[in-house]
Amino acid sequence: MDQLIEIMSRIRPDIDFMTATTLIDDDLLDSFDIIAIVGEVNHEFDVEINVNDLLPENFNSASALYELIKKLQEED
Amino acid sequence: MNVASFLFLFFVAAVVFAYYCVPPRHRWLVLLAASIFFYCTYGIPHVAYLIISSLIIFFGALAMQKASSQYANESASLDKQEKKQRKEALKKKKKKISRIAIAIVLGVWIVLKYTNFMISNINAFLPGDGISYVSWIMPLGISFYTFDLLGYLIDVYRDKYEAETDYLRFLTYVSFFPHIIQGPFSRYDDLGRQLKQEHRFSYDQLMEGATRILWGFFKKLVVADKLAVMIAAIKSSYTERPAVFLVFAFLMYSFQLYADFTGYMDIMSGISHILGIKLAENFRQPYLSKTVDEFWRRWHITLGEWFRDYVFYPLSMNSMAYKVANYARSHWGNKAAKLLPSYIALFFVWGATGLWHEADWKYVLWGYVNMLIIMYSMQFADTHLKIRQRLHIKEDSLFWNLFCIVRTFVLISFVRIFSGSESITAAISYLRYLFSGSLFVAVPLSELFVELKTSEMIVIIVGIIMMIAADIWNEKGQWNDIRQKCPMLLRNGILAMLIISIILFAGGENDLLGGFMYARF
Repeated sequence: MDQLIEIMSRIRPDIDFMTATTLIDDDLLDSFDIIAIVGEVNHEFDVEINVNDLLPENFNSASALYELIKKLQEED
Repeated sequence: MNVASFLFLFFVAAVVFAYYCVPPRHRWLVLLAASIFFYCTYGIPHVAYLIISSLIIFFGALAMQKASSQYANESASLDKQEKKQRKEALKKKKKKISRIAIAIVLGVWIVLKYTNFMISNINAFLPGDGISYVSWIMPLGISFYTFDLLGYLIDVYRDKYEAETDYLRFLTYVSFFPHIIQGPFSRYDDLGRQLKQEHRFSYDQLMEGATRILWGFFKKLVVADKLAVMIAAIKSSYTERPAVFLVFAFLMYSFQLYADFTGYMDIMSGISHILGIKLAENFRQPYLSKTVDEFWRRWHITLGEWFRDYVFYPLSMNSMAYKVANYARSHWGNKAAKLLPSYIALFFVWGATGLWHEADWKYVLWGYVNMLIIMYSMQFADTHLKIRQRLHIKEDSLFWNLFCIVRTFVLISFVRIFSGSESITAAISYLRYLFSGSLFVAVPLSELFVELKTSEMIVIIVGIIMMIAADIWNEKGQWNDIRQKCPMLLRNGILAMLIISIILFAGGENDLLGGFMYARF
């Protein structure tokens, strides 16, 4: 989780990813941020997040994204 | 049927009356009949194309759904290996079905919309008259509902929701008359769901909807149409006047486009509101944006979201994009790995967005100028931040925010010189003239409003001030509060003023489409 927070903070240093829970609902992340986060996450965690996973519930918080990563790692 | 006509208002009144007269569970049938009738008024061939393309997508989605359901039923009894194989086979099958359906519907749209454009490009290289142009019927609103259909099919492919099993329900969604001609682009899990719900009549809803319709007609028939007269007059004889007139014309063109497009959206959203249905909002105070990128997330929102979900994301999130990112990371560092896949996707998205608007190179150029501005701000975001910090500029200061808003408005208006001109050549001529001097000449405001009477100038200025004020209140989340606290006398006075203005000033050159600018796309 710490590694994920670090990745997300590198892309958007102005957001507190430890507490934010409405990243998509409140338009805190735009499409460029999402693409950058997905690219970094795929690279660092060796998973493949695809377009079907781009749902608000997966990206609204760091913990939701972490759950998605764990799910994809288990599927592999 | 001309939307800006009494006939259309009579049609809407009849639809609302019939809608609330039949039992709630049958109301969707009234909407289906009304929508097909409305679309028929533009010609039967238009309806035939709508039905054929919607049938292709409907059955394509249904076939994918059937395959998914079959897999879901059987997967419980399969072991892990078999499950994986069956899942792979399902994926292939769905891909095949979706590709066939998309190829047919998108292919026909491309042929109808771009054949003459391709011919004109080929003819540029041929001697003599070249290839003859075709005169096929271009179904009205085809660029809007084709994309709605494709979005639905892709959503079912992605298992975002289940396919509709009732074709007439599906046709009601596609043909729903408030969105078929000019959007907004809709999603089936939103509008389709609402069309299935039972809606009760509400007097408050009727009044709110009617007010929004009135506001929409005022923006279109008074502000947009009068500005159109002025802008056309300036552009037709711009060399006879100082360049400041041309600058004024292109700044006002931004307001014309805004009044025209939001006017139509207000009319259609108002009608839907009366019917108990909420259409997706297409605008979120775009002229209060602080960057061009933000502007494009607030202007024609549903088109931007369509391209984001169905073009930008798939292009930036595939194995090729990841290879590009990895290559960029190893050669140029993390920043390049972050930006390059987005830049490549943006190149395709803005080319497609330009061409979606009109089969004309000027729109492609317009798209790419927008793209370059967005790329520039992404590339130099860190540098800009450092400059701001060095100059001790506070991000939340009123001065900085105002500067950013004005800068974005001027930039957007400047880029529109390409799309708002008759051709690229004309745009270049305008630009040359703009920078040829005579830009800083003092001209009285009344003289800038060429071809318009003083009363028309006043009503336009008041209209623009009202639009800006409404946007500021909306931005601050105060609009509903202000509307509720507004004394009845003042509210009725404003509504009366809008009606009187429409009666006194409306009278632009409207065609069958009501002269709405986006209807021709």
